[in-house]
Amino acid sequence: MSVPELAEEMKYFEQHRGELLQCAPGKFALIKGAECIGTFDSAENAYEEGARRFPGTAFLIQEILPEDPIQEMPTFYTGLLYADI
Amino acid sequence: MPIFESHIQVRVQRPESDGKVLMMPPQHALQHAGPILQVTVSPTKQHIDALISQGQTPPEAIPGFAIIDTGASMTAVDEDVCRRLGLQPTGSQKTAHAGGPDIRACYPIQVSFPGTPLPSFSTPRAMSVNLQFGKTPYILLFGRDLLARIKFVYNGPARRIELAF
Repeated sequence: MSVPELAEEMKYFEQHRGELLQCAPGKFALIKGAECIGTFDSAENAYEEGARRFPGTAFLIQEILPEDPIQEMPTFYTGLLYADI
Repeated sequence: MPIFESHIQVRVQRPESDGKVLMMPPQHALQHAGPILQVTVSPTKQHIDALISQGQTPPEAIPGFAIIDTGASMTAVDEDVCRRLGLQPTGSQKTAHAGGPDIRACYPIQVSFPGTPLPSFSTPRAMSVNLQFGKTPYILLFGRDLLARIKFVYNGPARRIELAF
Protein backbone atom coordinates (compact mmCIF):
# COMPACT_ATOMS: atom_id res chain seq x y z
CA MET A 1 0.00 0.00 0.00
CA SER A 2 1.47 3.36 -0.98
CA VAL A 3 0.33 6.78 0.15
CA PRO A 4 -0.23 8.76 -3.05
CA GLU A 5 -1.10 11.96 -1.17
CA LEU A 6 2.45 12.05 0.19
CA ALA A 7 4.43 10.77 -2.79
CA GLU A 8 6.29 14.05 -3.30
CA GLU A 9 7.09 14.42 0.39
CA MET A 10 8.37 10.85 0.70
CA LYS A 11 10.53 11.24 -2.37
CA TYR A 12 11.97 14.46 -0.94
CA PHE A 13 12.73 12.78 2.38
CA GLU A 14 14.54 9.86 0.77
CA GLN A 15 16.63 12.28 -1.30
CA HIS A 16 17.58 14.27 1.80
CA ARG A 17 17.68 11.57 4.48
CA GLY A 18 21.49 11.74 4.69
CA GLU A 19 21.61 15.50 5.21
CA LEU A 20 18.83 15.39 7.77
CA LEU A 21 20.60 12.58 9.64
CA GLN A 22 23.66 14.76 9.97
CA CYS A 23 21.86 17.79 11.36
CA ALA A 24 18.88 16.34 13.26
CA PRO A 25 19.22 12.59 13.97
CA GLY A 26 16.31 11.12 15.90
CA LYS A 27 14.14 14.18 15.45
CA PHE A 28 10.93 14.42 13.43
CA ALA A 29 10.91 16.24 10.11
CA LEU A 30 7.84 18.11 8.93
CA ILE A 31 7.76 18.04 5.13
CA LYS A 32 5.24 19.62 2.77
CA GLY A 33 5.73 19.21 -0.95
CA ALA A 34 9.46 19.36 -1.70
CA GLU A 35 10.28 21.43 1.36
CA CYS A 36 11.37 20.57 4.87
CA ILE A 37 9.50 22.99 7.10
CA GLY A 38 11.50 22.11 10.18
CA THR A 39 12.61 19.42 12.60
CA PHE A 40 11.01 18.79 15.97
CA ASP A 41 11.70 16.86 19.17
CA SER A 42 8.45 14.90 18.92
CA ALA A 43 5.92 13.82 16.31
CA GLU A 44 3.29 15.66 18.34
CA ASN A 45 5.14 18.96 18.02
CA ALA A 46 5.66 18.39 14.29
CA TYR A 47 1.96 17.68 13.87
CA GLU A 48 1.00 20.78 15.81
CA GLU A 49 3.07 22.95 13.48
CA GLY A 50 1.89 21.14 10.35
CA ALA A 51 -1.76 21.47 11.32
CA ARG A 52 -1.23 25.17 12.01
CA ARG A 53 0.49 25.88 8.70
CA PHE A 54 -1.39 23.47 6.43
CA PRO A 55 -4.83 23.01 8.00
CA GLY A 56 -6.91 20.15 6.72
CA THR A 57 -4.30 18.90 4.22
CA ALA A 58 -1.81 16.04 4.09
CA PHE A 59 1.77 16.58 5.21
CA LEU A 60 4.57 14.22 6.15
CA ILE A 61 5.91 13.68 9.65
CA GLN A 62 9.00 11.51 9.37
CA GLU A 63 11.35 10.34 12.12
CA ILE A 64 14.91 10.92 10.98
CA LEU A 65 16.63 7.54 11.24
CA PRO A 66 19.14 5.68 9.04
CA GLU A 67 16.33 3.35 8.03
CA ASP A 68 12.67 3.12 8.93
CA PRO A 69 11.88 0.64 11.71
CA ILE A 70 9.51 -2.23 11.04
CA GLN A 71 6.58 -2.13 13.43
CA GLU A 72 5.47 -5.36 15.06
CA MET A 73 1.84 -6.42 15.26
CA PRO A 74 2.07 -10.19 15.76
CA THR A 75 -1.42 -10.77 17.10
CA PHE A 76 -2.94 -9.01 14.15
CA TYR A 77 -0.82 -10.34 11.34
CA THR A 78 -0.77 -13.94 12.54
CA GLY A 79 -4.54 -13.90 12.91
CA LEU A 80 -4.44 -14.43 16.69
CA LEU A 81 -6.59 -11.36 17.10
CA TYR A 82 -9.40 -13.32 15.51
CA ALA A 83 -8.88 -16.66 17.21
CA ASP A 84 -12.03 -18.25 18.62
CA ILE A 85 -11.35 -19.64 22.07
CA MET B 1 -2.95 8.96 39.79
CA PRO B 2 -6.64 8.29 38.92
CA ILE B 3 -7.47 4.65 38.21
CA PHE B 4 -10.17 3.26 35.95
CA GLU B 5 -11.19 -0.38 36.42
CA SER B 6 -13.02 -2.15 33.60
CA HIS B 7 -14.84 -5.45 33.94
CA ILE B 8 -15.13 -7.08 30.54
CA GLN B 9 -18.62 -8.17 29.50
CA VAL B 10 -19.07 -10.60 26.62
CA ARG B 11 -22.34 -11.51 24.94
CA VAL B 12 -22.46 -14.85 23.16
CA GLN B 13 -25.09 -15.85 20.61
CA ARG B 14 -25.55 -19.55 20.04
CA PRO B 15 -27.15 -19.92 16.60
CA GLU B 16 -26.77 -23.70 16.65
CA SER B 17 -29.35 -23.90 19.47
CA ASP B 18 -32.09 -21.37 20.11
CA GLY B 19 -30.20 -18.25 18.97
CA LYS B 20 -30.46 -16.65 22.37
CA VAL B 21 -27.90 -14.07 23.39
CA LEU B 22 -26.29 -15.00 26.70
CA MET B 23 -23.77 -13.26 28.91
CA MET B 24 -20.51 -15.12 29.28
CA PRO B 25 -19.67 -15.82 32.94
CA PRO B 26 -17.43 -13.01 34.19
CA GLN B 27 -14.69 -15.43 35.21
CA HIS B 28 -14.30 -16.36 31.51
CA ALA B 29 -15.06 -13.02 29.84
CA LEU B 30 -11.68 -11.38 30.33
CA GLN B 31 -9.81 -14.48 29.20
CA HIS B 32 -12.07 -14.89 26.16
CA ALA B 33 -12.26 -11.29 24.97
CA GLY B 34 -8.95 -9.95 26.21
CA PRO B 35 -8.41 -6.42 27.46
CA ILE B 36 -11.01 -4.54 25.44
CA LEU B 37 -12.47 -1.09 25.90
CA GLN B 38 -15.22 0.95 24.32
CA VAL B 39 -13.74 3.93 22.54
CA THR B 40 -14.57 6.55 19.97
CA VAL B 41 -12.19 7.59 17.22
CA SER B 42 -12.41 11.07 15.75
CA PRO B 43 -10.25 13.57 13.88
CA THR B 44 -7.81 15.52 16.03
CA LYS B 45 -8.83 18.82 17.53
CA GLN B 46 -6.58 20.59 15.01
CA HIS B 47 -8.32 18.87 12.09
CA ILE B 48 -11.77 19.65 13.48
CA ASP B 49 -10.80 23.30 13.94
CA ALA B 50 -9.58 23.40 10.32
CA LEU B 51 -12.85 21.96 9.03
CA ILE B 52 -14.90 24.45 11.03
CA SER B 53 -12.79 27.38 9.83
CA GLN B 54 -13.43 26.22 6.25
CA GLY B 55 -17.18 26.14 6.88
CA GLN B 56 -17.36 22.37 6.87
CA THR B 57 -19.13 20.16 9.38
CA PRO B 58 -16.77 17.84 11.23
CA PRO B 59 -17.63 14.14 11.11
CA GLU B 60 -19.15 12.42 14.11
CA ALA B 61 -16.79 10.38 16.24
CA ILE B 62 -17.02 6.66 15.43
CA PRO B 63 -17.67 4.32 18.36
CA GLY B 64 -16.37 0.79 18.65
CA PHE B 65 -14.10 -1.57 20.52
CA ALA B 66 -10.39 -1.25 21.10
CA ILE B 67 -8.16 -4.05 22.26
CA ILE B 68 -5.02 -3.39 24.26
CA ASP B 69 -2.20 -5.29 22.58
CA THR B 70 1.11 -5.26 24.44
CA GLY B 71 2.60 -7.20 21.51
CA ALA B 72 2.03 -4.34 19.08
CA SER B 73 4.75 -1.72 18.93
CA MET B 74 2.45 0.83 17.36
CA THR B 75 -1.23 1.72 17.61
CA ALA B 76 -3.37 0.73 14.64
CA VAL B 77 -6.70 2.14 13.54
CA ASP B 78 -9.18 0.56 11.18
CA GLU B 79 -8.67 1.85 7.65
CA ASP B 80 -12.40 2.16 6.99
CA VAL B 81 -12.71 4.41 10.04
CA CYS B 82 -10.00 6.65 8.55
CA ARG B 83 -11.91 6.85 5.26
CA ARG B 84 -15.23 7.61 6.96
CA LEU B 85 -13.62 10.39 9.03
CA GLY B 86 -11.95 11.91 5.98
CA LEU B 87 -8.53 11.92 7.62
CA GLN B 88 -5.42 13.22 5.89
CA PRO B 89 -2.29 11.02 6.07
CA THR B 90 0.83 12.07 7.95
CA GLY B 91 3.13 9.31 6.73
CA SER B 92 3.58 5.63 6.16
CA GLN B 93 4.91 2.80 8.23
CA LYS B 94 6.65 -0.46 7.46
CA THR B 95 5.25 -3.55 9.09
CA ALA B 96 5.74 -7.25 8.58
CA HIS B 97 3.54 -10.32 8.53
CA ALA B 98 3.53 -13.87 7.28
CA GLY B 99 3.01 -12.70 3.70
CA GLY B 100 6.04 -10.44 3.81
CA PRO B 101 6.65 -6.74 4.39
CA ASP B 102 3.88 -4.24 4.05
CA ILE B 103 3.62 -0.45 4.04
CA ARG B 104 0.60 1.16 5.64
CA ALA B 105 -0.61 4.75 5.69
CA CYS B 106 -0.60 6.58 9.03
CA TYR B 107 -3.22 9.08 10.18
CA PRO B 108 -3.67 11.50 13.07
CA ILE B 109 -6.51 10.45 15.36
CA GLN B 110 -8.08 11.29 18.67
CA VAL B 111 -9.25 8.46 20.91
CA SER B 112 -11.83 9.01 23.64
CA PHE B 113 -13.22 6.65 26.28
CA PRO B 114 -16.90 7.47 26.75
CA GLY B 115 -18.35 6.87 30.18
CA THR B 116 -14.96 6.75 31.87
CA PRO B 117 -12.75 9.31 33.60
CA LEU B 118 -9.95 8.54 31.15
CA PRO B 119 -8.77 11.58 29.21
CA SER B 120 -8.76 11.62 25.44
CA PHE B 121 -5.54 10.71 23.68
CA SER B 122 -4.39 11.96 20.34
CA THR B 123 -1.58 10.63 18.24
CA PRO B 124 -0.29 12.14 15.00
CA ARG B 125 0.60 8.72 13.57
CA ALA B 126 -1.67 5.69 13.92
CA MET B 127 -1.13 2.93 11.39
CA SER B 128 -4.18 2.05 9.27
CA VAL B 129 -5.05 -1.62 8.82
CA ASN B 130 -8.21 -3.61 8.20
CA LEU B 131 -9.48 -4.56 11.64
CA GLN B 132 -13.04 -5.32 10.57
CA PHE B 133 -12.91 -8.92 9.41
CA GLY B 134 -12.86 -10.75 12.73
CA LYS B 135 -15.62 -11.94 15.01
CA THR B 136 -15.16 -8.79 17.07
CA PRO B 137 -15.00 -5.76 14.77
CA TYR B 138 -12.37 -3.68 16.49
CA ILE B 139 -11.73 -0.14 15.37
CA LEU B 140 -8.50 0.32 17.30
CA LEU B 141 -5.57 -1.76 18.40
CA PHE B 142 -3.94 0.00 21.31
CA GLY B 143 -0.17 -0.43 20.95
CA ARG B 144 2.87 0.26 23.08
CA ASP B 145 3.31 3.81 21.75
CA LEU B 146 0.11 4.85 23.53
CA LEU B 147 0.66 2.46 26.43
CA ALA B 148 3.80 4.49 27.13
CA ARG B 149 1.46 7.19 28.45
CA ILE B 150 -0.48 5.09 30.99
CA LYS B 151 -0.14 2.36 33.59
CA PHE B 152 -1.97 -0.80 32.55
CA VAL B 153 -2.70 -3.80 34.79
CA TYR B 154 -4.22 -7.07 33.59
CA ASN B 155 -5.75 -8.13 36.90
CA GLY B 156 -6.66 -11.75 36.17
CA PRO B 157 -7.72 -12.77 39.70
CA ALA B 158 -10.10 -9.79 39.89
CA ARG B 159 -11.18 -10.40 36.24
CA ARG B 160 -10.67 -6.83 35.22
CA ILE B 161 -8.22 -4.47 33.64
CA GLU B 162 -6.99 -1.34 35.40
CA LEU B 163 -5.78 1.80 33.73
CA ALA B 164 -4.08 4.62 35.60
CA PHE B 165 -3.10 7.87 34.02
